Amino acid sequence: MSIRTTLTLALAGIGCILMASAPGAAQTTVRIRGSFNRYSLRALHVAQQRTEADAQTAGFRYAKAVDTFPDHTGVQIEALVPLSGAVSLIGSIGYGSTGGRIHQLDYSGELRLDQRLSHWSGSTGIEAVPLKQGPHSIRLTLSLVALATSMKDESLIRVLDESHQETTKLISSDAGIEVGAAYQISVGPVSLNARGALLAATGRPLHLSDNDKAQLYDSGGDPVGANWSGSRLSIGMGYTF
Amino acid sequence: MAGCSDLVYEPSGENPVDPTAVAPDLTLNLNDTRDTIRVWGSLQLVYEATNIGYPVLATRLLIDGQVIQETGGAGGAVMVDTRQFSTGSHSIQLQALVRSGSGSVADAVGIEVIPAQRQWTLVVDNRVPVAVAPTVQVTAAGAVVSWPAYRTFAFQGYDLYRHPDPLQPNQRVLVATITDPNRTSWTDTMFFGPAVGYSYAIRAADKTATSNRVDVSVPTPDLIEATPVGRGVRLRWTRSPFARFGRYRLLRVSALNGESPSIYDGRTIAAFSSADSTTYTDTTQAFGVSYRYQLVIEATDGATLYGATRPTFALGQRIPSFRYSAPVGSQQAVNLLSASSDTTSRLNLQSLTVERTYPAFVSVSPDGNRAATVAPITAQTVLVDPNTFAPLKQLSLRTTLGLQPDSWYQGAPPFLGNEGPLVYNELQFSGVTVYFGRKVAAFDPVTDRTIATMTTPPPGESSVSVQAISSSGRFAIINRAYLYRIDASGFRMVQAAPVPVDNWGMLQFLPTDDLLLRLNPNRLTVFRSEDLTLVSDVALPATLRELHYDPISGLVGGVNEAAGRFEAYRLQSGEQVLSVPVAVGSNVIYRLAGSVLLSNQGWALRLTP
Repeated sequence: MSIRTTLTLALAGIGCILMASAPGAAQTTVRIRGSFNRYSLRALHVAQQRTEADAQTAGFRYAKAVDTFPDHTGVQIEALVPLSGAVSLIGSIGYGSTGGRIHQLDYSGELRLDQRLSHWSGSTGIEAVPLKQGPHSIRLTLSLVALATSMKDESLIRVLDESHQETTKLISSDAGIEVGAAYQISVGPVSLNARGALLAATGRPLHLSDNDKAQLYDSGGDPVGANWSGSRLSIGMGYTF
Repeated sequence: MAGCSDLVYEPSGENPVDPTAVAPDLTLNLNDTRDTIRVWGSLQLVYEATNIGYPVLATRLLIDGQVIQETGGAGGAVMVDTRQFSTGSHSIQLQALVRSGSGSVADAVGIEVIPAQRQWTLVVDNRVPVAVAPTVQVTAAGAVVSWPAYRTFAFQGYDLYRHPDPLQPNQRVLVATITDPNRTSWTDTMFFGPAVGYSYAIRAADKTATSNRVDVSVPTPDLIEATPVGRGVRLRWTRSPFARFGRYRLLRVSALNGESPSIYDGRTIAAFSSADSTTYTDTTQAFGVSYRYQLVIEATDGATLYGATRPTFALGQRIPSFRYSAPVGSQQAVNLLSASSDTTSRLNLQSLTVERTYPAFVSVSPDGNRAATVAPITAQTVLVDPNTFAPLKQLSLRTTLGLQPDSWYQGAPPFLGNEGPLVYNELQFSGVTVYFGRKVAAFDPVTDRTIATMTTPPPGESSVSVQAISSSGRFAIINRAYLYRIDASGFRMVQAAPVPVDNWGMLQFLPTDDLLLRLNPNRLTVFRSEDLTLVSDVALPATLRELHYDPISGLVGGVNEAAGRFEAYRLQSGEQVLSVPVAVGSNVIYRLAGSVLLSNQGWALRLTP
């Protein structure tokens, strides 16, 4: 995790704490959540398959996809502000990543096509508590999500001791809606929360970071976007101020 | 921060592989399936390196390590004369630089190149084939040409040649090409004699060896017998040996009076399509005519071979007249065939006429040894029965008596051993032969019958030597003493008149005046032809030459060389009417419409009396 990401998460956490401790804020809860994310990324899968075929056609007969955008962990920081009774306003900032690789390594050199895909998400919604019994409660969430996607496309060709590397950065922004259900147990101001959520998001085409007209298409002529739709299983620790 | 590192995904995984280069395919046009190739002569080497989907960067062809050609592509072609290499084994290598096609990273970026090489063994063999002379045998199927099989290498074909004319050794015709090396004979079914030559050539190793020519000669089927048998002629000939035989054709042409017309004018009297038909009897001969026969062999395509002509004597041909003298009392045989160069011919004598000028015996001996008929020649004709007559070879003549008192001879009698000339003159008239001597006879050459005989008057001392023939068919014969008038219809002497002995010259008949004119250089004698009455007898200058008579003017003229003049005289009176000087050597043209025309070295003179 880069320093930049770490600082971003730290600032988001500090922001949530400050929001919860602000004068007038009552029963504000801050959660930090770790998640196991499963994404669709269908267009990227297809694009990787086509790239693999293209590489073989271009002479890299043994080029093969060895990493195909697997499920991976993410992190979220949430802040909840009660609105009325069992309904709270919830806002969050999250981060997730995955990637892919096409690779060939032989006596003469190496071909490596890496794609590092990550996103920042910001969401706002409501969390309702339809069932609460003692420290145990069931919570439902509905959020609107904004996603900022970044993909580093890095190609490396090394022949003997000479190598050539190119890196391309592409970005996109998407929106989605996420619903989730959580079980929470609260002990005093501290709560432990386990949630499952489903995200339905758009997958707009990636484009060069410095030229939004230069969109990414795969060799089949189809636009390639990062569709983060999927599921998140997460466990969070919260503190209610 | 380790947890944070796990939070940000890092692609992982490796795909180590071990690519294998694709072996290129190196080909040579000579023979790709064998590593040892036999070559000869000049050849074009076409070489190529292929590696499907991957380029070939360079190719190189080497023989015995020496670069023959190098190209920057996938292959090339080069002409090589193997005669610059020694006979034996040589190596030929094809080298190539090709993209490996392994699929490795280096190959994918186009920098992996691998060398390839393939090697063959070239066996250079430029030995020249040798064609030994063939053998030729004439069989019923044709002329069979055989030769030893060519067993060396690089066989391409046998070429068979026919040499139609033995006299033209360079003339030959290609008659067959055989590509099967194991076939060692060929039958010329078109062989049609009598002589032909064959040769063959072996084409191998880009070379041709031609054998010597072998001639084969087959005697042309020909007549071997033309024998008179009865009233016909039996012909027999040898059998045709040719497979292409079509038919025999017998030609016949008549040969009158010993003439030898071309047999090619003859007509076909018989034809036989079976080669086994070798005899024929010609029964269509005309009496008294001799023939020549010829056998013609025709091939199925019309080609012909002519045999030699075979003459036969005519049935009833008269024996050529001959003279023979022998001492009295002697007996000698006269070989009738000795005069003929054809000793195989047969003389078929039907009748024999002997002119007796002295008593003699004649015997006719069929075989020359045995006398069949011996008789004193008191008769003039000995007839032989044609139905029983055998070929006559000899005529024996025996004289028993000497001179007769009434015989007429010139010079010393030959019968006493003196070989002086016997006076023997002939007068030919319309095919009638007249023998002069004591007797005169005329014969019809067609019927062979004597049509007239006569006995000349006692001549005294001179012989008959001049003749005259009139348009009315009347003859006049003159000797030194007498002028005879002969009637041709009966061939009898009608009248005789004495003639001055010294008046010797040409006798002319003048039909317009019905006169007989006797011209001498020094005398002109004129008789009336009707009764031989002497009309005129005029002395002329002895130096007159080229006397001629002009019937229109009635003049007789000639050049008097001694006087250098042309002189003309009246026929009746002998009066000289013209005498003009001419140069010696003038040519004289007479009887030009009553004029005399003289010419002498470019000028002409017309004289009109």
